[in-house]
Amino acid sequence: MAETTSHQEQFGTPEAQREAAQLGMWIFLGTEILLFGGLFVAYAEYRMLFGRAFRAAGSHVIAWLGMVLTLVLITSSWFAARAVRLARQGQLSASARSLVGTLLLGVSFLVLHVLEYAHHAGEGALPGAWYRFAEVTQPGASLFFTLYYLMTGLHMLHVTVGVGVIGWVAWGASRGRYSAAWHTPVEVGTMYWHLVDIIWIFLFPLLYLVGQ
Amino acid sequence: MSAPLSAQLTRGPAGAGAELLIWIVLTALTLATWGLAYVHLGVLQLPVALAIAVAKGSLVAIYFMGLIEQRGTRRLAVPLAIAMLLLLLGLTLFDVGTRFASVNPDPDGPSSIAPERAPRRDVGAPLPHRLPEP
Repeated sequence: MAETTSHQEQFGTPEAQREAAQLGMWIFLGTEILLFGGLFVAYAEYRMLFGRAFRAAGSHVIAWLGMVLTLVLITSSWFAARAVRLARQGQLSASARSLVGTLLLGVSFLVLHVLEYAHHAGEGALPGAWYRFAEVTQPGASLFFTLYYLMTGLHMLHVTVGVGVIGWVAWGASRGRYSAAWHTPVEVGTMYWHLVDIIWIFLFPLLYLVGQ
Repeated sequence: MSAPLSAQLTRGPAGAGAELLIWIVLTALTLATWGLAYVHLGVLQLPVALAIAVAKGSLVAIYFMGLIEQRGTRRLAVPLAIAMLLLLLGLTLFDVGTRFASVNPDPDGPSSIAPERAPRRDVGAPLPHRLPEP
């Protein structure tokens, strides 16, 4: 366990160490944007090529559920932002409670998403060659659902990792591992969570509001 | 090195009141995006929805993630990644948008059934997409 005010010798000051940790996280988040970016570009290309099929298939995605999922994630981000402020103010117990709020909303997001997948799987709207959805059959419709599963699936993987990270940080905060002077895991852990929220903010209109 | 470090560390990147206000704005914009999807804005549908998404994403990045208090490379890393992504997106769509008509499927049709279920097209029947006149 790290001393709450110590820093590694090579950094000179605790601020330098904190900023180095943040730079590492910003660069990692840049690579995450490029990872999702490949899928966003594929989506843009296929939507341009199969606009009508995308509108027809998109009209079967549950728009209000996408809206609810968005509200769940932005509220979870608000709790995460509160947790950072409370940690900086030295209120680590309150910070831990706020992180638990983020955690619970993240788990709710995953549960709702699994129910949504079950609904679409039940009607045969499956990716690629497994596509059996009788209501939308024109060419390109299966591509929409393939991208829907790829983009939301990769995002869900990130939410799952994020739930683990937030849970670990919340546990650390509740055990008194951090202080007002040193709480870098709270800062960089919540940064990752916010990026996952931002990616969803773009997935929502692209996947849930195409065919309304 | 960020100048007002001591000030940063006693408050969040935004402060309690601003955090609440941003959450309210994010919620309102989410409801607006959802509502506007049923208004049928025509060609403006996608640009408006994406503009709202950019506004929401920027609020989260600047105030919740704390981009506003970052300096130097910490401020530049993510905007640079976004610039690279926009370059990739732009070049890809430039390719798709400037192909000969016969290369791309017609975006507004056909409403035929999926290829694996479609009846085999007769040999010699006209192609579904117009070829450029010689």
